[in-house]
Amino acid sequence: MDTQQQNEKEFISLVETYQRLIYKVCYIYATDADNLNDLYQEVVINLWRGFPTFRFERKPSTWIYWVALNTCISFFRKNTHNIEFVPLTTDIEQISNDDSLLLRVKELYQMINKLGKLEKALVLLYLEDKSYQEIADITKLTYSNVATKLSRIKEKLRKMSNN
Amino acid sequence: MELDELKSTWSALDERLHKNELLNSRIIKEMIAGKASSAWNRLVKWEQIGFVMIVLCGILFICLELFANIRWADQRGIWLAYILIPAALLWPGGKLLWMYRFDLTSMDVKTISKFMNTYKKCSFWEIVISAVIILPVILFTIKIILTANLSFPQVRLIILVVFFSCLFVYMLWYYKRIFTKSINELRQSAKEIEEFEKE
Repeated sequence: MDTQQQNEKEFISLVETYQRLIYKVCYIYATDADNLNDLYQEVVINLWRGFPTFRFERKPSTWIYWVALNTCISFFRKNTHNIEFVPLTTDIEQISNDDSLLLRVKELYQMINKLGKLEKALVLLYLEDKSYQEIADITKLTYSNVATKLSRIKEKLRKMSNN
Repeated sequence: MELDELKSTWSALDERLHKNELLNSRIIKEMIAGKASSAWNRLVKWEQIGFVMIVLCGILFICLELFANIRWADQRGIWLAYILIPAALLWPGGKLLWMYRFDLTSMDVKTISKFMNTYKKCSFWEIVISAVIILPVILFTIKIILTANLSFPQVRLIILVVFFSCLFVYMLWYYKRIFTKSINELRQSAKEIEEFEKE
């Protein structure tokens, strides 16, 4: 097996392991199902491009969060017509056959969608149960800044939910 | 929905995701084989194409001016072109060099956000400046049609003027729409970055 094939095999195994993590990041930033598929593929491509320089020096999940968040934040298309992507095997409607969960997920999505791109990144990491230190490592914000920002965002979300 | 509820909803979604396969090795292979370049690389490619087009137009103009012995109606236009061509080259050239610095794997989320905001701002002002240039060109074309001694029948002339006038109105409406949408997005994004800059 040559190096290229070995790389590809390692990469596929990495993406398969962290497929849900990528999905959740894309889900937070996507505007619709097509956009989610498009974003997902974009993240996978960027991970693939960065894979040769990533040599497991960092925690794989931290690296994937890093690239996925950066991809979603910077995602910009001048032409949104005729987008081609490889669709995922399933979507959120199929994942959740429980109506009440689907409803809650939609409500959650609507609330998070009102936040800015950077705020979304912090909320996502918070929902993923990351510690403030881990969030600081991923976002390159200081620990105290993460704490302040998160408390403000929590307040914002609380107000949104009360309205 | 309280924050604890948010978290429990997120965990429930996570559990469901664990039970579902989102993709497999075949899909991953298709994903990386299907698109050779990312969205950002395509933006860079379009900027490169634009740069090459300006270079070609500049060369063509200089060749016409120097070798084709064309008698231009108004010499002021020539001087304006000599000023505009280097400016038109410097801007996309500088923008391209700046775009090459973009790196998803080494920049942090705040820097990436600032980078994108600057890019969108540049693109926005490019649209505004193009509008400023294109609109007088349309008006000038209408003037030429009206004043030229063309052998068109009157009806055709009217049709042409109506066509250009409609184009003019459509462009005004289109630019207004883009302007309002982009300026709101840019303001929100800049405000968020500014908030994140504060410790």
